Amino acid sequence: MTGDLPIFGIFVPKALLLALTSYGALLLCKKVLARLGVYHAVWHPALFDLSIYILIFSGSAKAAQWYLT
Amino acid sequence: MISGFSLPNQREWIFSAKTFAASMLALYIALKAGLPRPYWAMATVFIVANPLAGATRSKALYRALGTVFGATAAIVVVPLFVNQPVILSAIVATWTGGLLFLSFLDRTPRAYMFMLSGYSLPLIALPLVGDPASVFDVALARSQEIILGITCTSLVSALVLPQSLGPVVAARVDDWMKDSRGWIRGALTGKGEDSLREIVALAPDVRAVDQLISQLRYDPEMTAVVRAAHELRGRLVMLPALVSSLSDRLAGIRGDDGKLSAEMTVLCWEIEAWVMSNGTPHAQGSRRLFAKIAQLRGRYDEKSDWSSLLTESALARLADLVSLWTDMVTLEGEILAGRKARWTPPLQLANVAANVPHYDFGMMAFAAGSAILGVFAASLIWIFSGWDQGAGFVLIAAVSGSFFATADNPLPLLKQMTLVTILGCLIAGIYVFAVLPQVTTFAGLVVVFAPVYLALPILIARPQTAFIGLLLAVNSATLMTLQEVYSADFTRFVNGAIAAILGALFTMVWMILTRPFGAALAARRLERQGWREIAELAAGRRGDATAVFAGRFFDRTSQLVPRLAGAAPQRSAEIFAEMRVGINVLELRRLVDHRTAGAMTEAIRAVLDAVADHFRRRAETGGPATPDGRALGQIDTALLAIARHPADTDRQKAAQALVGLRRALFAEAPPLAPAPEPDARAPLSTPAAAAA
Repeated sequence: MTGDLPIFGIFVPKALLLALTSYGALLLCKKVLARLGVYHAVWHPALFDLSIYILIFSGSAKAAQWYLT
Repeated sequence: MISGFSLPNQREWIFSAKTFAASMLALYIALKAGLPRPYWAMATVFIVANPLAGATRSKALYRALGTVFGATAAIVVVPLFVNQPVILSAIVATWTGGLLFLSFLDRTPRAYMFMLSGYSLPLIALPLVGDPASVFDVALARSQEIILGITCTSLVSALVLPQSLGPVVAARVDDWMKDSRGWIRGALTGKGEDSLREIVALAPDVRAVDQLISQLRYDPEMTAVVRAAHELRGRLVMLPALVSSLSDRLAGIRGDDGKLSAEMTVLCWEIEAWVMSNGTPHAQGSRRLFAKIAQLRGRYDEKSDWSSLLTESALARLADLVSLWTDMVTLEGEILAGRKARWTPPLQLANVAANVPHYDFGMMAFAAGSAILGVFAASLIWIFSGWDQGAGFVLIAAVSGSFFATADNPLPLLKQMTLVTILGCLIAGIYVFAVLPQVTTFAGLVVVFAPVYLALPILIARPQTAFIGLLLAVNSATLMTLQEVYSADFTRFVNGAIAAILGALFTMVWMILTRPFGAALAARRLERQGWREIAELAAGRRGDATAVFAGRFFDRTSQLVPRLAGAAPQRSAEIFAEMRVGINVLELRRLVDHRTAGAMTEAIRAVLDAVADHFRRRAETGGPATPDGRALGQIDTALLAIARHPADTDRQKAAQALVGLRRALFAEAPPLAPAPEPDARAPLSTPAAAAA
C-alpha cells in the first residue's frame, strides 16, 4: 500500500485527506457542543478543540488502518 | 521615526516571546523537513502574528488560502507563457491588479486572501522564468512553507497563554457606551451640535470596529457574541441620525427664551437621568418612559399646527431614543457575558442600520488599473534591462503597489517603507556575513536571533509601529536566505537587497506619476455620489430599505471624513441633515408607492420631485446647499393637504416625514403658516407665497 491516492492525476497523501476530513468533523462536533453549552464549562477552549481534533484524527487513522488491512 | 517609545508591558513581552518561539519552531521544522526555503516559514510567522488570538486565526486562514490560489495560478500560467515574457508579464500584472480590485470589494479579513493571491503569482512565477520545469515543486514548497508557518503561529497563539479579544472588546464597548451617553445628553440638553461634531470626528473608527467584529468569529471565547456585536454596531450607526433629528426638533420647539414647555422639560430630564444611570433596573425604567411618551403623544396627534407637529415629531424621536438605549444596554450585557451570551436577546428598535459599504467604483478601478500598469512597467524594465536577478524588483513593486493602493497619499508611507527596507537589508547583511558564520548549531541560531526577533514583535504589537516591525522582520528574514548548510553568496545577497530597495523606489515614483490627486478628488466624488443617491431615491429610480440607506450613508461618511481633513467637524450638522433627508425621502416614497392617488399623494409626489431636482442639480454642478423656496412651498402645501386628510397611520407617518424633511432642508425657515379654517377652502398657494 502506498501512502498516496491519485486525485485528477495528482498524488495526494492519504494522511492529508484524513486530516482535512477530521477537521470537518471537528467543526461539526464544535457546533453541537456549543449548542449543548459544553463550552461554558471548558477552561481552555482552544486546547479543548485541539484535543478533540487529535482524538478524531488518530481514531479515524486507526480505523482506516484496521479497515484497509 | 519612532517617537514616544515606552518600555514594553507584560502583554507585549508575552506576545513577543510567543511569536519568537513560533518562528523558531517553524524554522526548525522546515530545516528538519528539508524544505527548500525554510526562511519563508519563519517570515510567515511574523506576517500573521497578532497579539489577539482571533486576529491571528483569521489572517492565518486567509493567508493559507491566498497562497494556495496564487500557487495554483502560477502552475497554470508559467508553463504556457514562459517563452513570451511580455505576455506573461501582462497576465501576471492583470491577475495582481484584478484580485486587488476584488479585495477592495470585501471589508472583512477575507480581503487579505484576494490581495495575497494577487501578489503570490508574481512571487512564485517570476523567479522561475529561467527554469519553468520546476514551477510545480516551487509552488508546492512555498505553500508548504507558508502553511507550516501559519500552523505554528496559530497553535502557539491559541494554546500558550491565549489573549482573548474579550477584554479588548469589553473596553471598546465601554467607550462606545460612554460616548453615546455623552451624545444623547448633548441632544437632550440643547448641545446636539457639539455631539454631532464629536460623532463625525469618530466616524472613521467604524472601520476599526468592523475589523474587530469580524475577528470575533475566530476567537473561541467570543463566537457567541458576534450577533450581539453586529446588532450593537447597527444601533451605534443609527445613533447620529437620531441625535441629529432629536436635537433639531427640540431646538424647533424651544420658546424664544430657549426653554421647553414644562412637561417636555421634565420628560427630557427623566430620560437623561435614565440614560446616565448605570445598573438601575433598566427594563422597568424604559416601560415607564414609553408609557409617559405615549400619553403625551395622545395629546398632539390630532392637531396639525406647526408647533404640535414638531412636538409630536420630537416625542416620536424620544420614543426611538428610549428603544435604542434599552437595546444598547441589553447588548452591552450580552457582549460582556462572553461565552455565556444568549443567542437571541430581546430587542426593541426596528430601524437599525445595516452594514452596507459604499463603493466608489471609479476610484477603485483607477487604483487597480494603476497597480496593473505599475507591475507591467516594472516587468518591462526587468525584461529589457537583462537583469537576471531582477525578479525581486518586480515582486516588491507588486507587493508595495498592492499594499498602498487604497491610500490617497501613499508617499509618506512609501518613503517609510524604503527606509525600513534599507534597514532590513542592513540587519540581514550583518547576520549573513558577520554573525551566522560563527553559528554551527540550531540552538546557537536561536541565541543569535533572539535579540532582534524578540524586539520586532514588540513593534508589531503596537498599532503605530506595526507596519515597520512587520516589514523589518519579513525583509530581514527572507533576505538571509537561511539554509541548512551555511552558504553566503555575496553577489546574490547584494542583488536581492538592491532589488528590494529599487522595487520600493519604483513604486514611489509610479505613485507620484499616476496618482497625484490626493484626497480632494476622492472627497468631491464621495459627496457627489451621496447627492446623486438621494436624488435617485427621491425620484424613485432606486428603492432601498431605510436600514440599507443608513448603513451605506454612514459608511460613505466614514470614508469622507478623513479626506475632508480639518473641515469635517464644521460640516457635521450638514452631513447628518443629509442623512435625515434621505431617511425621510424613503419614508415618503414608500407612502406614495403604496397608496392610491389622492390629494395627499399628489402633494407628496410634488415634494419628492422638488427634492430630487435639487439634489440632482447639486450633484451635477455643485449647486447651493439650501434648495430654493419652491421646495419649501411644496412641503408646506403637502403638510396642509395632510391636515385635511382623515387621521390614520399613513397620515401620521407622512406628517412626521414631511416635518423631518422641512427641518432638515430648511432649518432656518419661519414656522409653517397656520392652516386655513377647514370651511374656508382657501386656495392652496397662499402658504407657499407666504413662505417665499
